Amino acid sequence: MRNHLHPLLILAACCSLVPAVSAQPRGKGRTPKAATQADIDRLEKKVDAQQAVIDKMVKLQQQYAQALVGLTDGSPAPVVTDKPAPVPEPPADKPAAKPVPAVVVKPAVVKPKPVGVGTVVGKVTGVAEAVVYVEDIVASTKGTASMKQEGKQFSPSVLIVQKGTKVDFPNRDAIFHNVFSMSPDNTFDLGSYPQGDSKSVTMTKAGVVTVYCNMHPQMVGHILVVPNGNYVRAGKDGFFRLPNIPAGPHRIVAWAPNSKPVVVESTVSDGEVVTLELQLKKGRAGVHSKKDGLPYGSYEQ
Amino acid sequence: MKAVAFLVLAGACASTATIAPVRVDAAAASTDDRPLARFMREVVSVPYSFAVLEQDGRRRPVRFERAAIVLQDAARDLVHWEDPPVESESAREVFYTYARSLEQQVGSLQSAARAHHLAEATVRLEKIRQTCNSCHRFFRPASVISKDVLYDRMAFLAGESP
Repeated sequence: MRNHLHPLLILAACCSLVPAVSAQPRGKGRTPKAATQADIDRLEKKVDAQQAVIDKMVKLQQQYAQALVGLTDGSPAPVVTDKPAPVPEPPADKPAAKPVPAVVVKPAVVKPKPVGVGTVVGKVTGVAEAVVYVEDIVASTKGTASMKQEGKQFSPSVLIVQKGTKVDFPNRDAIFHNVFSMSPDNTFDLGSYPQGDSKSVTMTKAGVVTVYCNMHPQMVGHILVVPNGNYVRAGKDGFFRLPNIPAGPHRIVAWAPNSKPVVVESTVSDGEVVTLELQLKKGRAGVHSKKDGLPYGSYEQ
Repeated sequence: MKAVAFLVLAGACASTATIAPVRVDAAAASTDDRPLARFMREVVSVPYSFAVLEQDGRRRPVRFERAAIVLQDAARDLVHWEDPPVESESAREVFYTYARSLEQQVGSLQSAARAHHLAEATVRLEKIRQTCNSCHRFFRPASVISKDVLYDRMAFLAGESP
């Protein structure tokens, strides 16, 4: 690509050259001499040189106009350079003009190249109901999910939702239930409500939410609030596949109810498959209290 | 040197042809893998081994390309393998993910070998080895060992921990 001169700068350069060609000696008391043939020849040479300069400048201006058209219709943009623009050859008896700084044309906005995606596959061992998710990507949703109270149990007992999901807790039993959670990031108490009623909670923070009923100690549910849509339930044999993970380093987490999560750091490359083996240790459900901190079956004095 | 290469090649061939199961996972072994195992032995193993074990640098691009041509067909077969040795839908997904990845890697190997980009082809071959090992680790019921493709298999047989 070529350098380009701004039209105004070209005009300025033209004006600086014109006096050198056309000025006649002026002054009081000076008598104009008759032009000799040598003078006429010299003047003709200067006119020719001037004409050449003008031709070159017109050509440069045409190129400049083409470059502008190129910028508007999407064709390749001119190269931006900090080098001075080429200066037309000066006439032999005229000192060289100062280099004119090049016009800096801002490059066309370049869209960022897609990062690409890879796949994470593997196997979770040690537990039967594992969930694998990417921890370091944040993407909320406005979806809804449901965890019923049915037969004095939460159903499903394990629910995976994306951050921002509204979880409904419909009561399908012919008795009252009082769903609550003391999990640090998602503490709530829905109060007592009868069959047919439903209350809901929007899960605004990622993490594990363990839900209980204040009346029935056997009712325990787990809600895993994941930070994005990159999660999967591993099969019963532990195999899992997480497709379309953006390329780059990630924290991959394996989680199961009553187990300590396992976190691994892994770099995903575009179009490649990363294999992980994650081992979880099966834990035991601890004894929980009512929402007031007292054990079930007791009454505050 | 040639003798060593011969021994390694012989070991590699033996490793794929007559593997003595070291630790057998009963549940995994119950899956019938014979057609796939035979396919691996008869179609995949030899060209791959020759490509990896070729000592003559001038011949390696040719070996690589020949291996890539054979492996390309093999990978295509694996992508459409009707009865993979899996017991769940999630495992099936993982198996086919490896197969598709292999197909892609073999294509890259072929391109690099044709262009005589030896270093690039070597990297691609190593990626293929890693994919094979990952898949074998999960789906090769005859022996639940970690890495059984070539050198790591030899290391395992030499007594090194997997």
